[in-house]
Amino acid sequence: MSYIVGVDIGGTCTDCVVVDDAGGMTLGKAFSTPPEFFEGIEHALEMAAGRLGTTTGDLLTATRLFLHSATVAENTLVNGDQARAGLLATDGFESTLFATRGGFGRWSGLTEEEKRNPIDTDKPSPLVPLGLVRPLRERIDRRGTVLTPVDPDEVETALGSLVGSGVEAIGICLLWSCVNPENERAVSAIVRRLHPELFVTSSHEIAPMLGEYERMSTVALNACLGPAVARYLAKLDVWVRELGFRGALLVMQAHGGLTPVAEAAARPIGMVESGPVGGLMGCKRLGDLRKERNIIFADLGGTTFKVGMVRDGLVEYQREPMVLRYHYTLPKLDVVSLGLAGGSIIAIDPRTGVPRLGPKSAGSYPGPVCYDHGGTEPTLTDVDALLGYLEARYFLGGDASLNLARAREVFARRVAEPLGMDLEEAASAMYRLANSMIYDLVRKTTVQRGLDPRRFVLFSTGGTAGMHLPAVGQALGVEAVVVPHSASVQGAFGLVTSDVVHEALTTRPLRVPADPGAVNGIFDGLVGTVTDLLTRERFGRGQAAVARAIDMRYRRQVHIITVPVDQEPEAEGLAPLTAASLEETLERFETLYRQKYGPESTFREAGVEMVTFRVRGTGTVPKPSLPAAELGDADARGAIQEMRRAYVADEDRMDTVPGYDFTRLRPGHRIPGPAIIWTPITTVVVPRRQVALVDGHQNLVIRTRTDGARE
Amino acid sequence: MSTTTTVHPVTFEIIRHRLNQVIEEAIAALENVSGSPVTNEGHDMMVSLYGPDGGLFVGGVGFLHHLTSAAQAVRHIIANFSDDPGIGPDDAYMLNDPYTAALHPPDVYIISPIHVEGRRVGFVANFVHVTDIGAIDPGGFSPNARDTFQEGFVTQGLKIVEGGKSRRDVIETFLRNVRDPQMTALDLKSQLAANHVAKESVRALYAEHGAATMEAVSRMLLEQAERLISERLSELPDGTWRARQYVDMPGGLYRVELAATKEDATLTYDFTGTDPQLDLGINCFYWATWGALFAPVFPLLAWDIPWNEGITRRFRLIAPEGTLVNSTRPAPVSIATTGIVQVVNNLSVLVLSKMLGATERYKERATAVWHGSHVSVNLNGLDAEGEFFVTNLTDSFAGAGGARATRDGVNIGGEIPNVVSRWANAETQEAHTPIMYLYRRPVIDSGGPGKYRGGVSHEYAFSPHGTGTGAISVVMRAKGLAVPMSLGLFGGLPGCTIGTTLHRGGLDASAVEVDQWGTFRIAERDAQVIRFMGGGGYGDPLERDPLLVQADVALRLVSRKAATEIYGVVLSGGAVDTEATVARRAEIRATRIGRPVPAELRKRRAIPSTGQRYGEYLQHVGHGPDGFVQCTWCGHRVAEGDDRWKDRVDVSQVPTSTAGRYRDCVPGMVLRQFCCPACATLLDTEVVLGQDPPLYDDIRRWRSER
Repeated sequence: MSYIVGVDIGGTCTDCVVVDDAGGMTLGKAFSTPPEFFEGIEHALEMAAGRLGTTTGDLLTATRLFLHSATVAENTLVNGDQARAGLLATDGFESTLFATRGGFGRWSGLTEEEKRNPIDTDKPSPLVPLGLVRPLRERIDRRGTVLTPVDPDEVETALGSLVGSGVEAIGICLLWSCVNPENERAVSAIVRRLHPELFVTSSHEIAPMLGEYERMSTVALNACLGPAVARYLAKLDVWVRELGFRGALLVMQAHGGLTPVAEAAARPIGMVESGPVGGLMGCKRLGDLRKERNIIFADLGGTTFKVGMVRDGLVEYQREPMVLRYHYTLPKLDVVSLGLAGGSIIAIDPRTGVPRLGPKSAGSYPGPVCYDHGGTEPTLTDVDALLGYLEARYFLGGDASLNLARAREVFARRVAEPLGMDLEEAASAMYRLANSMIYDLVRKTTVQRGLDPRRFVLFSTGGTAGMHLPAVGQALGVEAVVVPHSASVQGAFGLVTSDVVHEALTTRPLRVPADPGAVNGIFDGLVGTVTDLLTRERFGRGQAAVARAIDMRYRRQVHIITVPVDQEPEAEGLAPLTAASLEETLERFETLYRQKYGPESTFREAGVEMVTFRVRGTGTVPKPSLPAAELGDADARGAIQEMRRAYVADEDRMDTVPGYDFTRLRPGHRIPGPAIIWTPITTVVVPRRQVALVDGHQNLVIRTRTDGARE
Repeated sequence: MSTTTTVHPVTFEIIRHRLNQVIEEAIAALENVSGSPVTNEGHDMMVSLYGPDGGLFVGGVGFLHHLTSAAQAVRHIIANFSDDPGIGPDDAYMLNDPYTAALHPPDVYIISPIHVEGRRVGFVANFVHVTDIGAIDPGGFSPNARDTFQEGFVTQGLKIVEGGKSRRDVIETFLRNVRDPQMTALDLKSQLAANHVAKESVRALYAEHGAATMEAVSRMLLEQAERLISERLSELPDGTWRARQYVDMPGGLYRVELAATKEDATLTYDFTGTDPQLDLGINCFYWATWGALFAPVFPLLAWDIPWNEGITRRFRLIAPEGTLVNSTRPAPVSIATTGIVQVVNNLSVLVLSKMLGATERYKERATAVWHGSHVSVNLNGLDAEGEFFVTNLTDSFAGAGGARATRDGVNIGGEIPNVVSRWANAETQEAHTPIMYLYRRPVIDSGGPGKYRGGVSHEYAFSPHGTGTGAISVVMRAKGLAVPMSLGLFGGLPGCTIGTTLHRGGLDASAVEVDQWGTFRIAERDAQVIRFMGGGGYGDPLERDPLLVQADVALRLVSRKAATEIYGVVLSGGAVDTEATVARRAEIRATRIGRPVPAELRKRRAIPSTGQRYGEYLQHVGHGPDGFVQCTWCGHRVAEGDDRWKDRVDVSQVPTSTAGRYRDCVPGMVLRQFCCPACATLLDTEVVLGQDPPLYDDIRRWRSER
């Protein structure tokens, strides 16, 4: 027997999925153990190994691929462990990072309420201070013409002074390197020759996108994160090999694919938010199995709320991504973070008597009052506990305890009494407020992107999600809410459903209609780059595929759409583009533009421009087979664990509700609302007017009853 | 709260949250459809909801002067067109007449009534700065106009959509009047899309919660805002605060005077004494001034209160007719937004900050002026393909923060009236426009010196590059070249002035001309250089931590010269020379009052806050005329309770360049320093014409005395 292991380290938990030769999956989960995460990984592996009847050592010895995602990059920034880095920039633009495009750096990443209060806003301290940026007298214009070439002596002097200032890493970002990297290449060659010990990042290698601020910020982030992330990955590599692992270590990237550990160490910024992106990719895979091409992915946990989507089988790239209020630009799949989660604190505004949920959070520690870790402010999770949803025996595998009495006492004093309501009345009101806000946030991230939720299936993952998203999904009018069997370990599940991906891109603004020869010339170079990488990684015929895409826009307009040229990755070599195929691409651009920005938005009169050319190479990794089980009897009453008093949202009252043990549910079972379903990791609440079905993959599929009848 | 219909506080919060979401969704629709750089990169736009009577109901972010002006536009539509041609379901009106409600012609309002089951429950209105409005100069700002008839198309209300159907005859008539009809048509489409989204969302809210609940919540929102702003105003002292800005225009220096009087829970802005209107487009009509005073009120005073009419009810405006703040037709107004609107913004920031600074509770919210003057640069010409282009550079949106009571102003950090502005990347601008930036860099000494330094501004240089004809045109309309407008607070000094110059033959060439106003040709070998205005400083620069000065010098945000001369910080190598700094600071104090200051008064003493604050360095001890005014730096009894303290302290008038480089002014303008006679601490500063009397603030009663 051989295995593929996926391990995802999140803020609270470390999740593990093991796939065997037969395609069977085994799950493991443990608390994350910062700052040394290996203990948490070991516990999660132990749990999975135990379920497989083996040991961690034997499991790892038999593992071919170890797939990994982690929040190490984010943690490095949060803890201020980033390296001292220096930047080389075009003369006259060395204050690009300092300027942050004016107020943009001051207000971006803030809530709407925070933006309204500029007196209390500041820019985050620059990742590379102004004093560690050195100007280089060189210049390239918008067409890529070198107006002033690089002066090697000047580079050497600048570098010498940075090294003298004690930098561990160097970032290089020159104007228009996204169009012509010649000058940046020249500079980076000098740096690498003179100082092979430094971590070096050039903007054309990592983010050849238009816009010098975001590009320089990406370079700065990458340079600052480089040393710490490289150290972490090297340690992980040693640690896992000491336990007996002899296979390949692959790391998840925010572009939605895996990459060999050496390459991941060179582009640490690619690991930012790769866990949630993995979760989204896992949902896409489940969607493929269920033939769902339109998916909203909502991961609502204790400290974070992430929303992503798959539209017509495609996941879009994120515009203006940010980590801890630092901007970057990278091919990153679109998963947005929203400021509401289980730990969001409830407070009554003393001026108005109106309750507010968030934006303050109790975090993962001390967390909600009912966790009994010393939390003193009532949270959304406490509301869920008071409404009868949480069950200690199932809560984090029965390892954690719940202090309901304390939650009751705190909630009564801080919320119910000020509102002049009894405890359950107040708790249910706060539950409705939370659902309404979650509804607003999901709507915001979907409707604003021009999609109609009614055509979508909502995949609900994360510890808090199951108690709220079925009711929210009902309000949104989605076709169904799916709580995947893998929901509790969705990031790790995403890992084992992912492939190795390499993205190569270049910016080369071209008016449409463009000469097909010129376009093919651009693509040939990019295809060569990714094909070489895949070949070097020994992806043979049938395992390697490439796909082209072009970022396009209407001239004089800012919105850019990434338009796929090839609908599916091609394994058998790409056909050169012709005038006709470029015309098809143009039509696809217009269709996608209309879909996203509305039928009124197209601006043909201005003409169309191709801006950035992308090639995505995929090396196929073996996947779990995930066969669908036969559906059996619908009668799930045998799985009822107990009857208990709990809140039924769509009737706005407390009632006696059956609580089901998920581990006793079988494919085909039908659970009419109202119901509570306890899985070993999380809780799902089914409102009265909905019904949950267990599908062949052990997913819960929750739909609103068409007849509206009670059962 | 309302007594007629009671609404559950949770329901109230659900609806409040959703209403803000409605605005955000509408703004997203506006940006999606528009795609224009000025809307998307500069966020030069606004969407808000209005009540059935036109009152501001839910204000969004964007340029905040528009929140109230669009309210006036809605009221005008209701008052004039209800019967003929009528305000029916799914109609939409256009209104951009500055002498009715709008700020200037290119900021076009699109106003849509919201009907629920045939009954009108409110309005949604938005603006964008449209690409062109058909004025004498391309782009909407018209320095060459001498009356408003040269400022392009205006309407006091035009029904462009009737019952959901666009009126083609009307829209095509409008588009026939503008230079870039296709892009302008897209602007209109984006505005209609935004209103459509908002309308549908509000209807959904009514469907979900019912009209009675929605109306009760609407009433509660207004009542709550009015109650909260009243409470806040009541916490501020009663009194009158004065501020003045001088405006340098080609051919003269003009003044805008403000006396803000707060009595109980009402704040009155009185602009009596302001100069007559000009034949240059910087003038404001009444509603522009009304909007301009509120743009800082929302973020500074009402940051945590819903932005609606409940707030505006507590304010009064006195703006004499025929003046810069209330011009009469046909005086030109197309430059109002970067002209007198911004001056009124600045004055409003100053009086609000002085009021906030006079309270123990809100003193930390006081701020010097941010980004005192825009330089909005419009370029047009032919690109390499021979196509005509017209575009605004976004550099002026970069801004610079004013220093605050507890920290420095944000460097290159934005402005108060638009809390979400930003500039476009050089590469983005170069991709669209045949120019090449030579640099964009921070300006040394541009931030107003103070205990906390004003944010530094930036300077750029560009040359045309890759043009069709070897040259392009630039349309200019700048103020603040000869007067600093980012004034300091409580002893803080002003930020630098604007510099705008054309360098014929390149940056190194000696032929330099000032391009403040009008249309200029720039060849590819020429360069335009613009220095923007730094933020104002807060508090006496001698109180600034020498280590902060050292850090500023290291980053070249402050020069060694300014460090020594203004901050009194002497650096040796890169580090503070403590002994020399102590000596230098003593020297500056002595110079201020013409006599040495004893050593024990040069350090801030622990003066108990037993009195009522005037600001950073003064408090009123004891009651009214029986009490006295005390310097909180050294404890000196500066003035008696019935004195005007400015008449009892040491006053000196020094050149404005005392505040640093780039501060040379029109002849006769001085930096007036008010210093404690004992310790020479800088209590207040004014930038004034030497013969003008001091600006006297008059606090009649602090809250605790009521």
